[in-house]
Amino acid sequence: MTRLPFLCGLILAGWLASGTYVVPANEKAVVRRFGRMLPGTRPSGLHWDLPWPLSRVDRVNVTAARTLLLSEESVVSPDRLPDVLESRPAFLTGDKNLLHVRIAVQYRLAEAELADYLFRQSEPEQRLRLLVESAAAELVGQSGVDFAQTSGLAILNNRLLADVRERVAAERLGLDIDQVTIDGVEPPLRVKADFLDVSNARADMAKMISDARTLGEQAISVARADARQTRDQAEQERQSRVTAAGGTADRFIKLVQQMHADARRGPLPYEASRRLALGRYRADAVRQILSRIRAKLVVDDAAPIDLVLPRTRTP
Amino acid sequence: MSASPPVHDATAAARSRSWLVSGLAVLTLLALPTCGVMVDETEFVIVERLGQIVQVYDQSADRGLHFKLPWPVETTRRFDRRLQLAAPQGREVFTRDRKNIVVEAYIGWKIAESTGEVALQDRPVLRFFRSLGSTDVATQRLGSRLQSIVTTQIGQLDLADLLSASTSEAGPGDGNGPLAQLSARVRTELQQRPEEPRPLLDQWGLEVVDVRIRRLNLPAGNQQAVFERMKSERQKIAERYRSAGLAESRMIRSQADRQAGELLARAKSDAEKIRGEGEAAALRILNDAHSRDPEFAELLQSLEAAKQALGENTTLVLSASSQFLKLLTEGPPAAAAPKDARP
Repeated sequence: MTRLPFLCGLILAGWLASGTYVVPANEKAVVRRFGRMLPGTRPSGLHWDLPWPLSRVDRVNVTAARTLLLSEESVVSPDRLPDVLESRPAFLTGDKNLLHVRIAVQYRLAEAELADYLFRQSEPEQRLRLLVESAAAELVGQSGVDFAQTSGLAILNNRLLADVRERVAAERLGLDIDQVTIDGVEPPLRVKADFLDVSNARADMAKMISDARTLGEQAISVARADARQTRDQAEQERQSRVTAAGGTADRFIKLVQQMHADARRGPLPYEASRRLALGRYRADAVRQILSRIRAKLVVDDAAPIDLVLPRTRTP
Repeated sequence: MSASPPVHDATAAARSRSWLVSGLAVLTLLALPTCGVMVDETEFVIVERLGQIVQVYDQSADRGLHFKLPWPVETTRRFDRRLQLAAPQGREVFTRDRKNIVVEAYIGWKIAESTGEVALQDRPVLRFFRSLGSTDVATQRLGSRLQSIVTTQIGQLDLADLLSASTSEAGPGDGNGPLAQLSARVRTELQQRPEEPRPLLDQWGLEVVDVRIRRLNLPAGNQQAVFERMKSERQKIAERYRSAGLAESRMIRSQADRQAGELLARAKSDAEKIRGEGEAAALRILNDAHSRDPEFAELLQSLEAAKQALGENTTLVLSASSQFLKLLTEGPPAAAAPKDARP
C-alpha cells in the first residue's frame, strides 16, 4: 500500500519529463499550449513545455530552400507507346495549341508567418501547386504558341513569378517564393518534329540573310576596289599624258629656240636651218622605217600590179 | 458487548467512508480531464450539453483552454477550421459555339469564422454542422456545385473568348486574362447563385476563399484533329520563314549589286573626267609649244606618225617615181622652201 504513492509520483515525474524537447540547429519550434499558439518561435536547443497532450510542439525548418516541380511525366520511357504519352495533360495556348510546360518553384517558409503555414491550411504544398498551375494556365491561355515556346518565355517567366508571389501573399500561404522558373516548354511528342522544322526554318532564314549580307558586302568591297583602280588608272594616264606632252613640248621649244638662236648668230636664216633639220629628220625616219620593214616592193607607175601575191608570200 | 457494536459500527462506517472517498477520488480523477476543452489553432469546437448546444468556440480569441461539465454531461465536437482543397476531376463542357473542352478547376474553402458578437445559433460552424456535417461531404457537394457552375459559365462563352491570343506570337496582355475573369465569376456564383435567396455562407456556413481554373485542355478524342492542325500550322510557318528568308536575301543581294554598280559607274565617269583633264592639259601644253612654229610642228608630227604607223609587218609599196627613190637615183631635188615660219 505504501508503494502506490511512490508509483504515482514516478509516473507523474516521467510524464512531466516527457515535456522536454530538442530543437535541431536548422529548425525552429512553434508551441501550442492548450491548443493556443505561444507567440514567437523557440530557437534551436533544449526546451521544456507542458507534456502531451497539454502542449504540442511543431518543429519546422525555416531556412531550407524547398522545391516544387510541376511537370507531367518528365521521364519519357522508350518502351511506352506514344498514345500513352500523349494522354498526359498539357496546357492549351491562346491559339489552341497544346504545350507541355515544366515549372520549378523555389520557396521557403516565411518565419514571420509560420502560423499561416502551419494552421491556416490543410495542405500548403498542394495549394501552392494548384495556385502555380492556375497562374500558368491563365498566362499560357493568353499567349500564342511561339510566344510561349520561344520569343516570350522570359516575359512569361517574369509574369508567372509576379503572379505567384502576389497570390501567395494575398492568400496567406505563409511561404516566401524565391524563384519560379519555366524549365521547359515542349510541344507534344507527335508534333515535335514539325516544331523542330519551324526552328530549323527560322535558322535557315537567318543563315540565308546573313549569307546574302556577306555576299553583298563582298560584292560592294570588290566594286569599291575596282572603282579605286579605275580612278587610279585614269589618274596615272592623265599624269603620263601631261608629262609626255610636257616632254614633247619641251623638246619642240628647245629645237625652235635653238634654231632661232642659230639664225641670230650664224649665217643661216631660220627657214634654212629649219629645212636642214627637217631634212635630217626625214632621212632619219626613212632609215628607221626601211630598216624595220621586211617586205618592200618597188613598182613602176605604168605597170599594173597585183598586190595579193607578195602579201601571201611574206610570212 | 455493548461497546463492541459501536466500535464495529465506527470501523464499518470508517471503512465505507474511506471506500466512498477513494471511489470519489477515482471518479474525480477520471472526470477531471473531460472538464477541460482545448481549442486548437486548427479547430473550431462545439460544446453540447445533453444534445443542446451551449458553447461554440470559433473565434481566434477562443483558442486555448476552457472548462465544461464533465463527460457525459457535456460533450464536444471538433471541426477543422483550416483551408480545405477540392480539386474535382476535369470534365468535358461545351462552349457557346459548341466546342468541347476539358476544364479543371479547384476550390479552396473553409468553415467560416465568426467575428464579434454573434448569437450562438447563427454561428457558421453550427450551420456547417447541421447542413453538411463533415469535410468530406462538403468537398463532395462543393465539387458538384463547382462543376455545374463551370458548365453554365463556359456555356455562355465562345472558345475564342477563353483563348485570346490572336497570333502565335501574341503575348499576354496586362491585367486579368479571360481565365482569371472566368474564375472570378465562378467564385461569385459559387458564393451565391442569382436564383438562391441566401449566400452559401448562410446556407452551409462555409466560405469560398479561392476558386481558379487550373487547366484548360482538349478532350482526348479531339487531340488527333488538334495535332493535325498544329502540324499544318507549323508547316505553314516554316514555309513562311523560308520564303521570307529567300526574299530578304534576294533583296539584300540586289541592293548590294546596285550599290556596287553605282560605285563602278561613278568611278568610270570620274576616270573619264580625269582622262579628259589630262588630255586638255596635254593639249594646252603642246598647243602652247607648237604655236611657236606650227608648220614645223606639223611636219615633225607627220614624220613621227609615219614612223609609228609603218611597223615590221607593213609591206611598203613604193612607186618607182617616188621622191624617195628619186633621191636615191637622181640626187636631191630643188629645196621646197617652207611658205611661212614663226620664230
